[in-house]
Amino acid sequence: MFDEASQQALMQEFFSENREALDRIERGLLQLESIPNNRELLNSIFRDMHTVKGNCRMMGFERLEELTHAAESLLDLMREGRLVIDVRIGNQLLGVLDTVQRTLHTIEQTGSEGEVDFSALIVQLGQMQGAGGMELQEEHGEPRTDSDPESAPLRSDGDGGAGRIDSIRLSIERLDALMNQVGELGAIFNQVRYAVTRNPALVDQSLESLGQQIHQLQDEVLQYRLQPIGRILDTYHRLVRDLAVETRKKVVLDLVGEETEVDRNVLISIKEVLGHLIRNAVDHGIEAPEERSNRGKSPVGRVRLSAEQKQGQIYLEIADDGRGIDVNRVRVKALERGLITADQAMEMADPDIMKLIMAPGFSTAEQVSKISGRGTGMDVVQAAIDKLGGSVTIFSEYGAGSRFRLRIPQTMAIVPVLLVTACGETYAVPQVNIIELVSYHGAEVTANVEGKLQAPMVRVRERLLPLVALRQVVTHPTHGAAVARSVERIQAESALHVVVLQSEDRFFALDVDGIKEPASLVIKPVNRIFADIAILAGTAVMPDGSVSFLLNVPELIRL
Amino acid sequence: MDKKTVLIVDDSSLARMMVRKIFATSFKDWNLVEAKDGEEALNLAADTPVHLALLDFNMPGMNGIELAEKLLVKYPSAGVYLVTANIQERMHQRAESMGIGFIKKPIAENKIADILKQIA
Repeated sequence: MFDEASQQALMQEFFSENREALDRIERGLLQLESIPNNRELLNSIFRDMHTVKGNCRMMGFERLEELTHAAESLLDLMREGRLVIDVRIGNQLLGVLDTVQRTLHTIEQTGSEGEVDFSALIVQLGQMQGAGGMELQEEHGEPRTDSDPESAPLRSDGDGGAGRIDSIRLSIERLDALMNQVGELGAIFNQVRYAVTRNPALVDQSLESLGQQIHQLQDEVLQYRLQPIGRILDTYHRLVRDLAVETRKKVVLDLVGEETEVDRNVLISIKEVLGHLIRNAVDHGIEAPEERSNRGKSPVGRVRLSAEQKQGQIYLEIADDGRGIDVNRVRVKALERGLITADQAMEMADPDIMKLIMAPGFSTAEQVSKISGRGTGMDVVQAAIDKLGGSVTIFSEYGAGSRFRLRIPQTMAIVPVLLVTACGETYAVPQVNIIELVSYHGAEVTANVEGKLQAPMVRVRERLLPLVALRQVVTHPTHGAAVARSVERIQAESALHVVVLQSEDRFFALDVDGIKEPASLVIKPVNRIFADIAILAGTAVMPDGSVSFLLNVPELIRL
Repeated sequence: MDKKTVLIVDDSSLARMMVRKIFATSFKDWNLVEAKDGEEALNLAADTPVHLALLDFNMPGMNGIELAEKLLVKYPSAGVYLVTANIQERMHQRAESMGIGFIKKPIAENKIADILKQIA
């Protein structure tokens, strides 16, 4: 298609660029022997090989293209850290370079690749890739040095397990550790049996060892349940792409904190919730490219999905730079739908109004669209997060974007709690929320309890905290229905036991009848009958066979 | 009439030369500017309005998608295409969600002709 001169110029460029690239690759490979994991060097070697391959393809030298492609694939594994160069691989790659150089020389002399056959070389390169892959699977979680036994053993290796969350991969090393723990358990069981049958003096001591061992085992297994959240976040690229194409919008999805580890069950439960919020962000949040340009925004909208772990809680944020939520429209809609009264519409602050979009049957979209409509609204999100014992906070600036912040417990299985009593029942308070325990007696009660706008408050270390009576909460478990005991009556009590609690940045004192002991409980979801009671986060079977409830502290604070 | 501008970004000088020759031979009414990486491309695009951009994916510094994103901000109506042989599914989705098109390597006259029809 080109004239002779152009064709010649192209061939000249082909030779000179390839030679330069091949020289750089050779130097790089030699350097790599002393710094095998240098990411930057690996990247530049890979890119040069990629260029050579592309050049060969462009000029129609198919055999060379195939050979350099095989070498490029091997380098790709290396730059992704899935294969480490050794002498054998290094020699093989240097051999490839020699072959390519020789063939280029032949082309220069004769104008064609000639009757060369690289298939044996390509097979060898392929085997090295395969070997790398195999090694990787077996070695996974087995640190090369023994200095780091805690290194994560469960990460999926990217080809087999990506996106799958219904199975985990365990290294033999971890399995052996588990086996050892079980072996220990067996040994302690023998001690207990000996103590019980022969030497009752040792019973207490051996039972304590048994308890400790069970704890260790629990911790070990819990670790296995934690999975990097990136495994599900990755799947949202596809979702965003499909939505963008369908709605004719331009959207970039940014993922942050993909390495954050979350309990497997939590992961499964939040998958849909996040999908729903992302769908909403693209569909309702991000504007059409023209509209964005007119508003002085980049035509490409951004959705940012971030995950982080703090004090046993996972914080997930879905933020978009779209049109934001019009709080006044929410106000009007909520009034129209009868969710609030006219008085409330006047009085309620913007953040409280914003929360109404999570209420059942609410949708701010003028038209229910095919994508995020589906007859379900944000209430589904709220319900799912409640079920996990979490909470949702909405931040939105009209015209600038919205941010949904989800807080959920990192694991649901075993929770360290403090047992307290009210009305003769035992309740469990998560340790993570507890700041301190304080008891007042006699005159101290009168001195430290006071009223503020009719609401009872208690003074703890010079700080006045709202006082919430557990016995009232559990006897009138509906929002706002609890009739507050008068300050005078509380002041007249002979003793007051409070648990000072924190949730996010709010503090309050929970007034309980009695404080029992700390415990670690296996928490199960709340029975369906009680599922609507927001202040209960779960149930646990107590040592004596009775059932107690785990309190949902963020909900208590809302009362 | 002012000529429209096509921006070629590729770290391979042969690849750039190839596209240059194709345009010089078959699509003479286009003004052509070229850069070897994203940074150079953005400097060029700062002064010259771009109507069509043909971008390599694997380049030193920013990759083709990162560059495309920046170009789209400046020239929302420009046709932006990634010239690739194969690309990770994830990258492909990311590009498509921004409205970026694809040209399969190796680049050739008929493929460019198709695109010029699309953006005409």
